[in-house]
Amino acid sequence: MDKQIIERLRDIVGEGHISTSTAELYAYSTDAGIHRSMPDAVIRPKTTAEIEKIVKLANECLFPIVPRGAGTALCGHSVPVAGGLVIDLQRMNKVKELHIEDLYVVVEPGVIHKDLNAELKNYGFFIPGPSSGNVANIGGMVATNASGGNAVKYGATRDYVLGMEVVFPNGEVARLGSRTLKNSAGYQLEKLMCGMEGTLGIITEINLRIVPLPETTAVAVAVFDTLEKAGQCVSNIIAKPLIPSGLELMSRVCIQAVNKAVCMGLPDEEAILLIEVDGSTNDVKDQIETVMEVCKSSGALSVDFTDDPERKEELWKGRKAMIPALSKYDDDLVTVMLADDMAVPMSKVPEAVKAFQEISDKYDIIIASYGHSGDGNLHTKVLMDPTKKSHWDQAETAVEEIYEKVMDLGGTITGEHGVGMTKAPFFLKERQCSLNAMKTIKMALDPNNIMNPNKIMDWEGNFISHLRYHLEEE
Amino acid sequence: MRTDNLKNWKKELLNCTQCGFCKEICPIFDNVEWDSSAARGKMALCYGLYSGDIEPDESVLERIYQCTTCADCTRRCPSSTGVVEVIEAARRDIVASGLVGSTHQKIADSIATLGNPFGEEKSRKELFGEVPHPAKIAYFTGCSAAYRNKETSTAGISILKKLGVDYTLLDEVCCGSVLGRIGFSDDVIRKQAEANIKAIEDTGAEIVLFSCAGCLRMFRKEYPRFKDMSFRAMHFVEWLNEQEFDLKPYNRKVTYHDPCHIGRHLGIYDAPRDVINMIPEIEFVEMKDNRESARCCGGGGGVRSMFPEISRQIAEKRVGQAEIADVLLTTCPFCVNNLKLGVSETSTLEVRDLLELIDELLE
Repeated sequence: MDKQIIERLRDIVGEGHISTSTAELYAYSTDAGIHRSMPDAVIRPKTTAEIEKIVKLANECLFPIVPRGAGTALCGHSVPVAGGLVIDLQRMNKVKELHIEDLYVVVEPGVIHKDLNAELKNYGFFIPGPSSGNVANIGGMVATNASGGNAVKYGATRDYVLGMEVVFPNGEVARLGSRTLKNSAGYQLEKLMCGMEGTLGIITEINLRIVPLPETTAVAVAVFDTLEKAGQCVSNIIAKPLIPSGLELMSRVCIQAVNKAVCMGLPDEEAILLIEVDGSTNDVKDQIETVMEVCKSSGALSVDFTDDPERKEELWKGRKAMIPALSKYDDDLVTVMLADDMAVPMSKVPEAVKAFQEISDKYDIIIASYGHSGDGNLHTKVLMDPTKKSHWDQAETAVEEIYEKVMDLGGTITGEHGVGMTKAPFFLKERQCSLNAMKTIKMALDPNNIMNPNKIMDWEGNFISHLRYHLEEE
Repeated sequence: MRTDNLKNWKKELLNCTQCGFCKEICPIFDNVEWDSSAARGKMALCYGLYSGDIEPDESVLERIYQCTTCADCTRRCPSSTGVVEVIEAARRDIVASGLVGSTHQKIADSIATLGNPFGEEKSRKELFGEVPHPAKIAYFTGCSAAYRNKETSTAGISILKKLGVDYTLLDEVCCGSVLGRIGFSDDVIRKQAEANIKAIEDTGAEIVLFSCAGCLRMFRKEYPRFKDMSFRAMHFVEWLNEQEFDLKPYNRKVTYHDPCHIGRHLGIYDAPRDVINMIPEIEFVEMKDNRESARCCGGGGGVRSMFPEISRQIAEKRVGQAEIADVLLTTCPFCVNNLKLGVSETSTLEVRDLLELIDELLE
């Protein structure tokens, strides 16, 4: 990107909002995933009009542009793999309109999920989101269709998007969707933008549906001697029918890691389920009784519940302690974001977790499995030394087998994080039947291929590419 | 650039998953807003220096020195990454590579020649007019309370006198905290440690009292690396909490700011609150962020000397939280000074060291 372009960009956003410094280029060369690629510049626009001008300039001068929110994505979504300009949207952080009586809000993409919910709490409402919601931006959540532990009951971000303003790759500013809860007017392009990961446009404003905050919650903890029984219990709860607001599974490796690292004293058994229900006080009482009954009849070794806020926090402590526990599990290994959010049909959760453990044993690599089993979403954490090539080789084969198994079980390689770079080779396999359609849409909207190029269906090669870790001699 | 120190922190450099959870609380990011300024951005830059991906140009050095070492990032980090340790290692490598900034070099030169970072020529003996002597309790005033906030050391001395304590002041030099925070080597800090430990042991003191959070942290966390100590290092408020005394009533609403270096770094949260609650008729209220999650005052880690405007903006936000009270109390002269800079002209909030209030109310 030559100096003239940088100057033209500076004219658009003003001094202080564009950088080509080593510090910024390096910091914006990665996200929360495993990849790194340096941009040529980073820009921080404040308005849709500025973005419109930036995109038009990119089309004129043909340089790549990569939109970025909080940079909390886990698969290299905002890594500028072809260089170019990273567009940091964090300055566009206004909650523009609150329409509580109409059940929607209008926000800019850089609004932090936590901040929006803090405002909505005053009215007794919220929008569900990912566990990174304290920092994740709404724009990024929409662009990756993010979700979290309560998706089993509340769904993913896509389910809350009513409409949006978007700057298409040709610089055209368009309004998609509506401000209404229902809308059958033609193609639902606003939904197409959910999960597009910055490849089809830049979202500059979003209309989001809101939902009432539950009056109260209660949490049950059930311990099982086999993963199968825990998995069957999940199916039994859902089939009752009862939809919990959270349903988390911890396998033995996770339990042991937590016990080892933070002395939680969790029962050293094959599986633990944490089951959260929410609603009115009476409703929660009824639901938790049903949950207890189902856990017992599903063969739980023990089951306990509480609605006391302090006790609830204590019960979640083990679950929350798991990630730090895993990173401290071994002095020479760290957690690396690989194969981290597969989803399978709920009834297949035990089979999937068991297979992950077998793969872990086969390749002598530590893989901890846990997840939001209520919606079939499973997380695995691979523990490895990312500076060793042999570890990457082992991980590559193990991850490939994990994804094959997930696809065999009728699942998807990503339930809530998206594709980006890390999952792209496997996405190409999973969605081979619809790749042509996706490529046609991309070409139609972005003929110059300037928007976050070489990602998702346009990825080529292995995922162990553009690593942000340096390999060292073994 | 040399990376001898960063190499020792490889595990922590890799342990940072770049999740960005630290962006929620990093006081520097809150003001600077570019991603490189958040704790994870600085971890990325440290990795870049360690791996040789980047050179320590002006932009990189600026960010590496924009950390107050408040350690709130480690509290928030899902992997409990030791960000402060990594940043201080990077700073040691920067200094060892001859890249130290002129402001910081001036501080180090003053400590080496005068024993304090302020260029003050008077020794402690000359300043206080007291000669160190054998006593069970010694008071290590620290440079800030000696040369900048003398009202705090005066209050400390007055409290000891009112309680009839057999105490001594010390022939002390700078504890070395500022040197450690800005990247000077262990060899430099060791000299400060040895001089201070000798000065204390010469008096035979069994307990040494501190009114500065940074000094106490040095004695508890860093000095043991250099030398065994035969005395107990306590913050003044920890010691006061073990004493019996009567205080006059104080009919005002107060809140308390936890200095990072005795809070998150040493875990001292209850003692100052217990001492405040000894005061009859006082109304104590907590700020929104308190104890483990207290916001930084913005003064530490060398930020105030190098980036005064950022430091003031951070203080302004912390003071904003304290506007629920009439008086903002704390237990570190460095915090007192910085927080005072954050009080707006229209505010009636009073910022004081807790020792001064206790001295005022002590019968």
